[in-house]
Amino acid sequence: MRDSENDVRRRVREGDREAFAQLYDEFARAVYNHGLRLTGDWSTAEEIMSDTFLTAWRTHERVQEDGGSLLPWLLGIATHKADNARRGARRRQLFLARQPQPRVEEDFAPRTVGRIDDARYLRAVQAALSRLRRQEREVLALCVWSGLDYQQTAEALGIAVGTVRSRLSRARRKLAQLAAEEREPPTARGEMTSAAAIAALPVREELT
Amino acid sequence: MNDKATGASPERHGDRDEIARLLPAPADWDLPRGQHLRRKDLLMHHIDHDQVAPTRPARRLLRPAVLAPATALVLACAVTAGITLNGSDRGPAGTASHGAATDMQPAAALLERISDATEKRTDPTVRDDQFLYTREKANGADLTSGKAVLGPLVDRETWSAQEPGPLRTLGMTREDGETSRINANLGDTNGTPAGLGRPTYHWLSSLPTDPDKLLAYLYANTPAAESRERDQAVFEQIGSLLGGLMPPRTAAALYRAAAKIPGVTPAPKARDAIGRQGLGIARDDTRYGIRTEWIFDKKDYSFLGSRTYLTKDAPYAKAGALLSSEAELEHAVVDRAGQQPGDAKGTQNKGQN
Repeated sequence: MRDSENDVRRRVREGDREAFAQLYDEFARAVYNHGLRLTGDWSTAEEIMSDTFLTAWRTHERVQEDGGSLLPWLLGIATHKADNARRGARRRQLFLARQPQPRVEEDFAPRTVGRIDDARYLRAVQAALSRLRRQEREVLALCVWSGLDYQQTAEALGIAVGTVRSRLSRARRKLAQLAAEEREPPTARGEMTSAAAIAALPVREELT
Repeated sequence: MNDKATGASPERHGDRDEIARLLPAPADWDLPRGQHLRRKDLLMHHIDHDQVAPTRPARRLLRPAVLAPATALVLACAVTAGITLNGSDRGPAGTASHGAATDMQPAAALLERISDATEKRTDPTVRDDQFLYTREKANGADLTSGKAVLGPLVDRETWSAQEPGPLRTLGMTREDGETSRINANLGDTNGTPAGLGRPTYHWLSSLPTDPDKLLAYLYANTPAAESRERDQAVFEQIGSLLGGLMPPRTAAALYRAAAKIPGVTPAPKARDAIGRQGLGIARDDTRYGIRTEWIFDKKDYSFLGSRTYLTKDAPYAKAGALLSSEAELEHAVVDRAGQQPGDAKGTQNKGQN
């Protein structure tokens, strides 16, 4: 496993065309979903994915000879691009405001209903993420959702493993606090945190 | 989760598990197969192109994003590169035109006054290796939950690089103490050059100062947005260029050009993000019921800020709901990203007159 991963690394580093085709087949979906979770927007996620592989191609010479899977490298690139996209959100609100609103009552096919719930949950997650600092969001998405371990997360972000731990720990405290806020009776902030409530509750059960 | 992949030492997963419980991963999505193949083709084409002609700069291959741009702060609502002079939703003639319209005389007169005052300002020197500094207060509504939730007013500082060539790092931004790099616009794999999407001071000075020519340029180059009428898109494009340090002649020409866009009206009650009242100029996006207002100082006619709000009920908020607002606080030319204007040359303070 490790040997073949290092073989891919070597070929990617050399700029081997087929190695990139393989890299794309293997990881495009993971990169797409990482971008989607961080931005909550499908077309942005598609751009992030496409752009990530182009950047990977451009910077292939910087890949180290050894170090296992290249997924952390790709997700690291994608994280930067997602950050960029997210900071454009201020303007994007005006774009979103002009999108046709999805009609929930349309089309009751069970599969579609599931996807609508998925989409709703994805939006709720965005609201919860927005209560975290960028560094916490990124560590969370890589380490909890994309399944990188601490070392790989550190590698993806170019930070120390200890920093991954402390950011994750802060993210946990904040999310626990959000969940606790939600359990309190509605206050003036009720509107602000309702999305976090959806995120904090065991929505998973409803979705499946 | 998959520690076996790296053989890393055992880790305490308390935080990880707890976060996974509090905020489970959203379900996986996938692109339609055709899209995946198209993206893969782009990548392979790009690779082949580079390998055949390694010395030539790679062409921009990505389709421009069909969404607002990925770069904050350049503010341009870049969408697709296609140029369409499509008709506006309503309006006497049915089609948009940028000829003078007689129904917006008051706005034209007001913009002319603003323009005159602007033209008399001094033109600072800005070197390519310097940065334009902007400090502003801004807030925006978050629509991602399906309901508009107005965020708090944040303090934002921006340093925009002035190098004309394509840059992968466009500058730096600090928002409520958090500093981040501004990367190239999404899709600009080889960097973003100065232009509508990254308006540097020199690029702005290179624009035509004849209002008609400038307006023709903007109609031809403002990225098309299917969701927006052409006149509205151009109006917002001008708005996206305001708010930073700008060559006085360019600013004056932009105001005169704006006065020629049909549907531009005075907005007497306009206030910026921090409540400063001033001379307002507005335009309605009638299709979506969104009004954009620019606010200028009553005495010296400087640009104070802008505001966007709903003029009719939408599924995510009621009429009157604020979507975004900004207030310009300070502009300056500084030598380094991150440098506060304080002792820097060319500082121009706003909001203190």
